[in-house]
Parts: sequence; C-alpha cells; structure tokens
Amino acid sequence: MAILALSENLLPARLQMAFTLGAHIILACFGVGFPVLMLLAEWRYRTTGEMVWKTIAMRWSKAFAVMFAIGAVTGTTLSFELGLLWPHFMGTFGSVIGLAFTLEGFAFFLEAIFIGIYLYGWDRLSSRVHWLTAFPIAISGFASAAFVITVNSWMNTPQGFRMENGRVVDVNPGRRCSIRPVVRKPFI
Amino acid sequence: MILAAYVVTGFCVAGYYAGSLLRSTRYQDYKIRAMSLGIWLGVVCIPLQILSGDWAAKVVAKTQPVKLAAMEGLYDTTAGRR
Repeated sequence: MAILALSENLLPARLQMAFTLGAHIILACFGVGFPVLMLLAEWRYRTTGEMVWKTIAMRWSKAFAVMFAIGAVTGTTLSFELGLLWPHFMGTFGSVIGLAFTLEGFAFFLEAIFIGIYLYGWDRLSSRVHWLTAFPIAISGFASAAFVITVNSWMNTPQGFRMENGRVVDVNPGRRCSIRPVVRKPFI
Repeated sequence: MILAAYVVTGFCVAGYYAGSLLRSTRYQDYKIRAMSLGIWLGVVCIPLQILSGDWAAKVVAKTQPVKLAAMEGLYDTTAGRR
C-alpha cells in the first residue's frame, strides 16, 4: 500500500521538479553569464572612456538584477521542493550533499551582497572600486553553478560515503568533489 | 554547464541587439558595441564548449553507458556496444 501511494505521487513530484528546474536553469544561465558581460563592458568603458560602454553596462546591470531576482525566487522554490518532494532522499543523503548546497548558499549570498553594491554604487563609488565589485558577482555566479553541478554529478554517480544499516556513515565530501572524474568534467 | 551559460548569454545578447539593429538604426553605436561584446563572449567560449562536451560525453559513456544510450535514443542494443 505504501508503495502504491509512493508511485502515485512520483509522477506529479517529478513533473513539478522538472517544471521548476526548467524555469530556473534559463534564469541561472543568464545569472552566470551576465556578470561577465557587465564586467567586460565596464572594463571597455574604463579603457576607452566612451560613455556608450557605461550605458551598456548600466542597462545590462538592470536586466541582470531582474533576472537574478526571479532566479533567486525559482531557486528558493527548488530548495523547498527538495525537502517537500524528496523527503526520504534528503533525509538519508542530506549529510552527503549538504556541504555543496551550503557552499552554494554562501556563494549566492555573496553574489546578492555585491549586486546591491554594484547596482547602487554607479556614481557613488570610484570607477575602479565599482568595477572591482563586479568580480565577486561573476566569481560567485561561477561558484554557485559549480557547486550545484557537484551535487548533480554526485546524484549521477554517488560516492564518498558508506551505508551501514540503512544509514549513511563515513561521509567524505572532499573525495566526492575532487577525485572522481565525473565531477570535474561536466562541471565545465 | 558554465561555459554553456556563457555561450547562451553571449549569443542571446548578440541576437537581441542584432534584431534591434534590423528594426531601426537609431543608437547604432550603442547596439553594435553591445552586439559585438556578446558575440565575443560566445565565440571565445564555443570552442572550449565543444571540447568540454566531448569530454563530458566520454565520461558518461564510461560511468553511465545506459544513460548515454538513452540520450542518443538507442533503446535496443546495437552493434559496436562496449
């Protein structure tokens, strides 16, 4: 009976997860890519001194802010869904994939902080400092994507832990992240 | 994945400004520059993406051959399998 109930809920759960992920990944792609474009445009502004590059960077930073906000909302939905739709998976293996998600959270917070500084600092910070604040955004965008892909590659080829009596013991996240090739490769 | 994100962003931005240039040539300076920056990002990342995709697919072939077969739409065993 329990198995029947499980299989009844499985398809809707998968559909919901797929829908949210499908919405999130589009926004996440722009969230990773746009900071690099802004950084390059502002670098061009600083080297050539042409105002048109500054206009470009400012426009893009606005577009990026909107996409980052929606991306954050869909990302939050996803993190709720991990617990709500896959409680057994997260209950059993949360201690294994938790580290990567925690680091992803920190990368996201860092990104959010520096986006605030970047958006509101256009004419308040010196042009060099303002340009430098774009780097943490680009780096932490890169890092968030990297950590989430680490989780995904662990799901594809789980390693770095032992099961004893149905419980996870001997978790070694370092081994999971660095040694196995399947993490390093799809990563890039 | 990360390279793919750069390619997607670069070409989407380039595509947007290319379309906007076709509609009207007002602010041509602005649009051409924005488009070229997008194209540059995409063009730099595409060759790396090809290498990375090849690399990733080979890893999948080694670690999860069944998944690779599903990606390729091969539902029956064919000749040349490993």
